[in-house]
Amino acid sequence: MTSAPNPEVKLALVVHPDLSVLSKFQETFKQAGMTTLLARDLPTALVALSQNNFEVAVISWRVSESGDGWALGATLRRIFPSAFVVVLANETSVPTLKEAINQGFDRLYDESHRPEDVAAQIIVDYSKRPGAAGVH
Amino acid sequence: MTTAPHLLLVDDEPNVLLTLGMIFELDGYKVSKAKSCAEALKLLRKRILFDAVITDLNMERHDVGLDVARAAMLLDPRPVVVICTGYADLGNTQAALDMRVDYFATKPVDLDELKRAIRRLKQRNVLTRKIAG
Repeated sequence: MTSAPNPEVKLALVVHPDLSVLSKFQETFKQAGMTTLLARDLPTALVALSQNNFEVAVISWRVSESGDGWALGATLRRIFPSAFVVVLANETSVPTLKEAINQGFDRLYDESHRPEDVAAQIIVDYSKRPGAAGVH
Repeated sequence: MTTAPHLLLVDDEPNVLLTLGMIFELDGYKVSKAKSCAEALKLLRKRILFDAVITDLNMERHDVGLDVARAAMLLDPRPVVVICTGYADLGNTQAALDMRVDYFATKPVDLDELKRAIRRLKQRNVLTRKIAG
């Protein structure tokens, strides 16, 4: 028998090709009381989002092939309209910010920064959203 | 009978207002026009229902179109909010993302893409409202 899911626990999806980055995100999110599912490629991410209801999604722009992360973000936005969906981009520039807006992302973070710092910032930004209580 | 979707176009360039207005009218929209931020804010305060608002950024002053976008996003029901500018920079693009503007187009505008995006975002707004009850 499976136990009923705890509605207080926030579920996050992190999609990034680099295992060490994934584990740093998982660790930081765990400290904030979040459960994190990890995916290194597009097929795994698609399976995860077909079976779960995510409150937070962090997607690298270069998952699978450079640029695929943008399209995955747009898909996530359509499936989970109220989720906090963010992209890790190669740079903060007019073209990447414009792409983030047009694909429906909430935020863009520069992946040149340390993953644990980015993860901590994401938690702060997510917590500032209305109705996002429960993340410490 | 279905009502034509209502679009507010905001730009200080009369030619842009004329051209974009004609294009969207041909596409079945009812188009209202404002040639400044002040004029747009006046229309938005009248609580007229707009399905979409397309605003330029630099009018009375640099990036003042962000004020139009901000005011439009407070409307209920919230219209699709599009920024359309020839002067995108890091500051105004970041501000648009932080505000959760729906679409950011740079001039010269890809009109087919803009029309597609507005159609898609309008449908999303309708769906979101249905889900919210």
